Amino acid sequence: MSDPLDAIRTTFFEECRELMDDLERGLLAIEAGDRSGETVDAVFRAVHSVKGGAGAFGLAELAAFAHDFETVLDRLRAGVLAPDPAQVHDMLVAADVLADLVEAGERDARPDGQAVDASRTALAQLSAAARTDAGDAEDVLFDAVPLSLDLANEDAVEGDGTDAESGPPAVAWDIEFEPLPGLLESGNEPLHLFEALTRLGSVRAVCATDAVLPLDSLAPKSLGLSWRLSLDAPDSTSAEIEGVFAYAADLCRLRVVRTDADAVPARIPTAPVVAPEAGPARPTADRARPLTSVRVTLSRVDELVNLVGEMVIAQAMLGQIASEPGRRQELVSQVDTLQSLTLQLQDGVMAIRALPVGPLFQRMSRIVREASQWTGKSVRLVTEGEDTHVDKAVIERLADPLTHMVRNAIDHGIEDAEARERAGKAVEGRITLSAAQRSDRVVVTIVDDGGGVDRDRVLRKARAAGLVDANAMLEPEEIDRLLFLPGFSTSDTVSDLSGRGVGMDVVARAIADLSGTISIRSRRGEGTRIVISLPLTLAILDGMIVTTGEERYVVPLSSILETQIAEHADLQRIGPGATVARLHDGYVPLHDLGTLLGRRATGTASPDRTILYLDPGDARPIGLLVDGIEAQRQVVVKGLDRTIGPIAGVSAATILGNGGVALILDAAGLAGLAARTPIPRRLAS
Amino acid sequence: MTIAETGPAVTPDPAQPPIGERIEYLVFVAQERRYAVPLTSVREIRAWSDPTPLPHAAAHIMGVVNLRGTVMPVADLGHRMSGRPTKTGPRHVFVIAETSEGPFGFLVDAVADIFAANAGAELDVPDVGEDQAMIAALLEDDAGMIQVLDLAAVVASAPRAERSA
Repeated sequence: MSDPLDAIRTTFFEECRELMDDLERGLLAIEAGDRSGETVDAVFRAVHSVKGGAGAFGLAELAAFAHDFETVLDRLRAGVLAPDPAQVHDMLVAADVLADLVEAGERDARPDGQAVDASRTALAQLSAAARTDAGDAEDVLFDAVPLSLDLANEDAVEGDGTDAESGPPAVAWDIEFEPLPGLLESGNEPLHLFEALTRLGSVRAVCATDAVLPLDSLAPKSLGLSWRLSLDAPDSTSAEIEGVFAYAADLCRLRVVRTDADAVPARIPTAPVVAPEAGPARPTADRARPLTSVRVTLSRVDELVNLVGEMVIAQAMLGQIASEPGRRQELVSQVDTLQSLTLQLQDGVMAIRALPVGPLFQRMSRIVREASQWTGKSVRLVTEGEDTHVDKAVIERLADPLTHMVRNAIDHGIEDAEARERAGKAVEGRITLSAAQRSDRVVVTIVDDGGGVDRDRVLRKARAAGLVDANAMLEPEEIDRLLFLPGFSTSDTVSDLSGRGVGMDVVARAIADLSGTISIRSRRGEGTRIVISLPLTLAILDGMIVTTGEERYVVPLSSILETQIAEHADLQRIGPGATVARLHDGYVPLHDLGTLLGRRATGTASPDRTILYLDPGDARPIGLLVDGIEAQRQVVVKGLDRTIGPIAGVSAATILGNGGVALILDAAGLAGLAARTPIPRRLAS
Repeated sequence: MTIAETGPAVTPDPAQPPIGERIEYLVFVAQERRYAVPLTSVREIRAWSDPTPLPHAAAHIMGVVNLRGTVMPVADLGHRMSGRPTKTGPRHVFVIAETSEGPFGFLVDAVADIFAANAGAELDVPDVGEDQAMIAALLEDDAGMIQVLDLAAVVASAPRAERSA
């Protein structure tokens, strides 16, 4: 990251992601019938910004595509294109392609040429459709002076909205304008002059920067820039044009030449402002963590600064009080103040990591679009609660499971048009994605109005796969839960869409990894509702601090089914060494935590010994024998991955009140260890 | 420069060429052997604190300690290099190296010296088998040989050695 251009590039792609979100949001609004100038402008701006950046970073293909797209949107903006639903769909597809190109540009990968070409053709048709009555709607605008960059694809990126007309511009005047040193001193401003020129016709400007002096010999009052302007004003006279420059006449060199409409002005050799070479072989390894920065509103930062200020004052007062004898009461109250400030600071810092789920939901609209195209089903996505804020890490890791569930809902849930009609439903299927905060958790719900879970078929499949005993009688809810079992798939033929060998078990696993829970409720013929409950943040965890020997560990509260004093437990021996404990209507294997972690050979006989019954998610519960439970509290999660790598049974670490480190245990990992560890004899004694 | 050309042994001497042409090493002792790492790769030296052991880790991995809010792994350097565990106590210190993966602490008996060697004064490492990879070069001073550690190799071979499947 030593290259400053690299950092700028990173920022550009980050911005692109936001712009893509804006673009999609705008297009969806347009699809819903919103044709307000604001919406259309936002859509246009998004594509325009991507185009500009793409040019600067030498992403020719992206820039060219953005240019085509922009042309269409410009016509939309000018009001000469009133798209029908199919055309809006084409634009949405183009937005998807644009997003793909951005991603390909970021990775230096080859985009899907076929999709790009198809979409470009669609765009060309769109702009052709608009051109039929475009007439003279071309607005005369002078946006910005594009500093000439040495670009790979000059045509595609030089524009600024005025070049939306395809084909060579009808240039009528070629003006060379070179300010002399006195120009700026006398209060003239080239930009104002150019703006005055736009009253005569549309202006295209190319700036030559090669005369700019190097920084060490820079004369601050001399400009060193010169411009070549192309003015599209066939009806103006040279006197009129020179008149614009009248006040600066003796302060600049000016040459006005009438040109043929087809003659494109010769390019003034220009010095590249930025070297646009993108490193040819960027490592793709860092793709895995796409979002590495967060944008924070200034008010939030100010809040934190204020809090820190208050903490500094509180700390100083604490020091003052502590240095004087006999002020114990004040000391206690000052510590309380500091504690409450710390909590506020903690909340404030956590809030920085929280992002709205809106953009994530928006990404799902693309999934719906693609999936409905594949399956030939017409599906509408409705989103609710986009403003719900969730920790950045949760959002990132929710994208894949959500994608999978939405695809599943379309592939397996929503029926085809014919079946829907027979069932008396609207032909268009409906998937509702909603998010809401419930105290310290976020609940994400995916509801479809499809056929619901076919329980007979699920049960048949599960029996065939040996997941369920042939004679077992299952409650409807139990059958629904079978969908989450590893290796379960209802589809008879593996479809392109959702049957890539990953089932709902992967989704369930991913949600469990996020310390979340997932449940499914379905009604035959009416649809399916999947409810996911997630913690607001992964940075703080509710845990139980347990001891084994001299050591302390944290067990996430979410994985503890229940706890029991070991003395009260009903323990039995099975086989040569296994001990099992009776839990409700069954027995679970019992393991000593210290032994499981390889810390000691056998357990001790402390009277405080306690059994924690853990739910490892996709495995059966286990009992964990610990020497005692010390406390139940929130701990701050510190990752271990980078320097240490994965450790079986351990997910992270935390720092305890005494400054020592305690490891946070992972129930699934412990269950895995337990399955491999022979249970020592005499565990229970 | 000139001294480096006349012989491999370099003695610190105020009359030597300017710092720019010399590499500074932090020299420390672990189980009576002397090791060195370039000073630029050392983040800090820290007093002893009880590490929290990691389950199923390699024997020389002592565990993790709290480095001002960061959970940092610490390894017994003497154990790693000589195969015998160090009898640890509060007088031991951690040399904290900045690796590409984050800070990593090495338990040493004591920090000895800062040693400036001319560029090019390093001696080749003789063939000693597998552990050779962890030694980048050898240096010499009046007291004898100093092993310059390749920290990346020491760290890479460290906790992953027995990573559970």
